[in-house]
Amino acid sequence: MTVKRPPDPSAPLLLDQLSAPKLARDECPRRAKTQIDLILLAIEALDLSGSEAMLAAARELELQSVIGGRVGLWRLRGSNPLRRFNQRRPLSLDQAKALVLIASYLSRRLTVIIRQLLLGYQQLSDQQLSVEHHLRLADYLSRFRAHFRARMNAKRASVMAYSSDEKLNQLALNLLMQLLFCTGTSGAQRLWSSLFDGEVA
Amino acid sequence: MTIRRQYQLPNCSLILEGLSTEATETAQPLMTVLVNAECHIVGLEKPLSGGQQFFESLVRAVSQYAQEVLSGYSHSQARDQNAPVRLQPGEGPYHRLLVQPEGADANALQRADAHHSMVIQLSTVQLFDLVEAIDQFCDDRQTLPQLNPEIVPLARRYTKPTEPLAQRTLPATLGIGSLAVAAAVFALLPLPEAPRPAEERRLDSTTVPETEAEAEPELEPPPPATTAEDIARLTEPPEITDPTVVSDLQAELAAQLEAVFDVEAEFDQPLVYRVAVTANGDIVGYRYDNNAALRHVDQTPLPQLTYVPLGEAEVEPEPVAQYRVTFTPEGTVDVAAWDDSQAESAAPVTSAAVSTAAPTNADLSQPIASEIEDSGQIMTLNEQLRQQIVEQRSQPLPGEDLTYRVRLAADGTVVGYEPEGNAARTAAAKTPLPDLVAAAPTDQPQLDFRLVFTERGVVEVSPWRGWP
Repeated sequence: MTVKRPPDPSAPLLLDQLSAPKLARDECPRRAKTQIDLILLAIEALDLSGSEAMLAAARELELQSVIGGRVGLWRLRGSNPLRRFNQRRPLSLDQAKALVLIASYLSRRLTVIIRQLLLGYQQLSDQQLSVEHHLRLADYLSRFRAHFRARMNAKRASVMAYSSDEKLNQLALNLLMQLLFCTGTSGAQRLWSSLFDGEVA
Repeated sequence: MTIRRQYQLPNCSLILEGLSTEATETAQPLMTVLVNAECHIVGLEKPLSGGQQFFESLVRAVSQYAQEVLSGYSHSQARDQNAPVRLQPGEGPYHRLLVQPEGADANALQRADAHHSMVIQLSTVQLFDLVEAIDQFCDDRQTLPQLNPEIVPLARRYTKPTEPLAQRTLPATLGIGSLAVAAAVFALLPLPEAPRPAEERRLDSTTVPETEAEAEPELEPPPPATTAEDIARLTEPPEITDPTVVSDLQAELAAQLEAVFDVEAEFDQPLVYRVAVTANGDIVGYRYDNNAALRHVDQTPLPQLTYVPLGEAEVEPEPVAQYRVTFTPEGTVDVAAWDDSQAESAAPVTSAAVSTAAPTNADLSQPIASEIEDSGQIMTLNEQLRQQIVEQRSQPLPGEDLTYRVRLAADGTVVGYEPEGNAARTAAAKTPLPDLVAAAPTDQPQLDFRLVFTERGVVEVSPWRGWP
């Protein structure tokens, strides 16, 4: 039998490992969109070539059909409502799944540095020292603050809540801890399912 | 034959000992019965150990808590409070693992919780290693396959506010109570007299045609037919109640309107609208709240921004948040949360604002009945006004030149003033002018003067039409 048409482009099989939550609508809730983008922002603050690494990860995981190229990735991340250039577009569940898989894939590569930073922070807080005493931690925090301030819309109330350095540092440390949990065996599943806490019926 | 499985992580190792009920002997036998579980945590002298119940509880608690860390939502309402193993957030970067020894019955534990249960402080990295050990165990299909906690999102019903009902209904009770009190007080007041139409026409600006000015009092009750469903959308759908979402949407709406609002728009009263916004920021409906708002609606960006659904039949009511949007003649946009109690007071407030502005503007738009013509008197009045302003003014005004037209009676009384330009209008309250205004009969001789507060803080006064 001759095949006259190429097979229908279907969603990559990898996405099936994340189960669809029982949502009222078939798109990501607001908190999920924000959270995914912030996790990726933390990865960028850890890894200087983070945005390139995301595109490379999309290629390696064969998620390009969902993510698209550089512009596609930028538009997906722009669905975060806190962004300065918010796209005001819905983020489909498949797109969100792809971003979650990329985040977990990249965080696994950064396991060593994530653990070092968290251990360092714990030691600093045991001795009641400020974060400036740990060079790499201070570096990560300042990069995160710079990224956050450059890309988020400062006029939004939920961004104004992070106006001070201390609050942004706390957010960055929380994200670091969440990244650590993404590195695990079922990291992607855990991150995915946590995005819909309080959203399912 | 005893089967031993080990899951080793830097800070934590999990050792499971159990039996297989399968008949066949294989190289990797399936463990189906757990005899003993040990959990070694670095820094802890004795390992945590227990049987099936302890281990099941450990797996569930750790799995749930890991999700709590990721989402920030407490799962405490979804979990069993009497479970032998529990996890809670600790101080700073720490987490608390509470373990109750096996054998003690649940009632005894409840009575003396603090004495019996063991509290272990875990750092984030230690906690993660514990989570990872459990995840590796769950991933291993050859060990206790029946014990596999599903990773599922927390249901909405568990994230409801935990405040008691009395506390949640308090604001509503207070609101209804104060409304009742206000209603009782207003019932005692006499009915206000309606202003005569002739007077209203005189005060109104000349841009409004006469016929419209006469029809004005009846304009408000019947809004155009197209807004009928807008109002339905304003009243029917459920409200968005999450305060962070509401304030977010408020800021977004303000930014959206400010971006497109044409500052050159011509109207002289604030335009007040009640606007409904859905959770994704779309404006789905608006309603006029005063007459000016109805008349000048085309000069606001609202008609263009309103989201019009294509198929009327498929519209499902979305939750909305309502805001009170005010476009001021100065070109600013003011967005505030809509409060139903404002609806009644809205109209009087705007008309009050107009009437306070009227004595300065409306009086000066009238030509002077008899002008002062004696040049000597003009000079005296000029000097008198300058002295008056200089003496009253405490500090120099900053910024650009502010110009006012000031009308004086023959005895030097300030009858009225009118700011020239926006800067002067906004700064008017800081000048001594509002305090100086006094009533004077209009049939007496009067004259207009130009009063300038220069940028450098100098007061300049001259007759409006120049020296005679």
